[in-house]
Amino acid sequence: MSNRRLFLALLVSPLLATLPSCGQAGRPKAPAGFRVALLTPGPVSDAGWNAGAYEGLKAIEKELGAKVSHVQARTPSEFEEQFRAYASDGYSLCFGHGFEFQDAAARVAKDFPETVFVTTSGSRTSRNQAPLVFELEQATYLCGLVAGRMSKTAKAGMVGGVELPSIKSTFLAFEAGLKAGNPGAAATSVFTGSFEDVAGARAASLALIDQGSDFLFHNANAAALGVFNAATERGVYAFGSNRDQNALAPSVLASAVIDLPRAFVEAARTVREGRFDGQPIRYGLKSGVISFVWNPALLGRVPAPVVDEVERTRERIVSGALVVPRGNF
Amino acid sequence: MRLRLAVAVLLGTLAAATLLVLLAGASPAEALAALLRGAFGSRAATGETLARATGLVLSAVAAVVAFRAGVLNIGLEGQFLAGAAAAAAVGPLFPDLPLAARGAIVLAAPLAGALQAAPAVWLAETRQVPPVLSTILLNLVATAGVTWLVRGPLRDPSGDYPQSRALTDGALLSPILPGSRATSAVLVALLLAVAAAFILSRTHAGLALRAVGEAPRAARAAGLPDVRLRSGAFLVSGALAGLAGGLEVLALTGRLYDPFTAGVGYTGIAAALLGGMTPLGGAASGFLFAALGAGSSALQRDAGVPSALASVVPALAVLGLLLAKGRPGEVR
Repeated sequence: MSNRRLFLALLVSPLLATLPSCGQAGRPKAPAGFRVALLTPGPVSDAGWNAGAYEGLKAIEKELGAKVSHVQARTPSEFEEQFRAYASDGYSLCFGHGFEFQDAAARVAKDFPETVFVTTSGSRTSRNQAPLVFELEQATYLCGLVAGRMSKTAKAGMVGGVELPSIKSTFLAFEAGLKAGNPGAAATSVFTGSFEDVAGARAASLALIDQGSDFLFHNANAAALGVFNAATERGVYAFGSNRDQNALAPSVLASAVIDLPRAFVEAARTVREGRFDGQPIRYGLKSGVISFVWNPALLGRVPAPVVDEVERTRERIVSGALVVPRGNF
Repeated sequence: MRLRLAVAVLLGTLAAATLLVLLAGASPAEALAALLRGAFGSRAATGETLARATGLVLSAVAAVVAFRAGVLNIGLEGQFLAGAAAAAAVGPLFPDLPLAARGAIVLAAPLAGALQAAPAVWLAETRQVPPVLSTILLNLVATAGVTWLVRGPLRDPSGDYPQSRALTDGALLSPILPGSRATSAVLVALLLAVAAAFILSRTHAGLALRAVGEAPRAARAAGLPDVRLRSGAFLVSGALAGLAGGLEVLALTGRLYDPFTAGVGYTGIAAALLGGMTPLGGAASGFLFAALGAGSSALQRDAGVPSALASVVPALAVLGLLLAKGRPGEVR
């Protein structure tokens, strides 16, 4: 019996030795330099939404010399917990990667006026909280313009995942571009109700092609593979969106791209240089965060006047001479 | 005996956790420091542990009530979601009456939890469908239901995001520790744990319930209303999990989102197992897991150990316990 107690005591003793170290590290240190935290709703190994944010955080560390930290927060109740922990630790800037972080950020922002909270998309603002707003519409307008100029049938199809305002807004801009390229052209949209349903997106795309569409635009995240697959099979063109998807299929003519890491770095720079004013941080073609990227392998098939017109239109959008329509959300 | 077992499990878990931390490339001492700091290092940290404990304690007690009556209710997660959805549905109906909103939530959430369990009760008693199966399947229904609700009927009409309408700030519970997120919800959970312990061990109903759980045929032969007791315990279990979901909305989030939980219903079952299937043991384990959860967040923030890895720790603790308790050849 006493042997066992001794054995247990021996087992516990090395653990006790670690306790003093927590006494020292226990108190939050005085805020040293520029510190940036990132909350993601999922694992950063997803090669998509969360990975892009994490790349952004790493770029902030490298380019701005900031001290960075990341935590995965899975549920809304954890969002506030993590914001609070970072803010009370004296972090200068906390990113919440998604609209769903807005409420938690607002509650914590009230209590920690020295910390700036930035959510990726959203609408809530305060003195120290604002969303990042991506004007992807400016690039999808250019996709529409290309389709309008090049479509032989004067019909284009748009495949969406869930019918969200942000998705519909990109379709609105695509359609405006299409009509700018060919006033007689028409666009049809289909929402599959899922961002993951590849088979559903494929079926929707095939139906659109059967109805005469020879250009397909999508905003369906992972389900986009079904769109590309259908376009490749039937020999029509598709556009990539959100990321550079030109390499995903031989049918992708160009992509409307959000450079997420760059957006994070620019937003952090804004905060560090004291230019943050509690207004939504907007990024369009002008900032370089949003871009329209031709697929180099297919560029030879695009008539030179169309390439020129896209470039001229891009410049007009950047200069502000052309305002691309966007949904009201 | 029980204490020694607990110590052995704790040490085994610590050893395994240390190994995992080493594998993740962090220093174990630093990791342990971060873990403790995240769970108890400040008033805010302690508050987080208490905030997390509410749902875990209630789920653990819910699991104990059902399991002791011989019902393997694996559907706590779904019942939790049903309660949260009900809270998000009724709470915003009383924008100017915070007390009415709270009252409606506290009534509707357990009711929804029990309703979510009801199909499994009916299937078990009339069609001999094992609750293990039916409740797991009902969890899937509840998860899909939340996805539909936040995009459909419960969607906040003033915003464009898939989330329900928010409770007013006046309706949300306020902190009992200033500057933290601990609310009186955790006291409610503790009170119910004590009540469940008293009923199970000190009352006729509790005795009858345990008899039905341990020897259903003998209990029936002795004239106990076994179907009613079992069904009642199952529904109460669902109601407790539903209340946990409702309190999550009322105390912490103020809205329903999708996804809403990261497995609190399953962790509650683990806590009940680790707590020796007693309400107070389950409650204590619930607090332990809450501390581990809050601590593991700090582990990721400060030591860079992925929090997913930290969530392995409670699982290890339960495995260790089952290993230590189980005897060769014994099948329960």
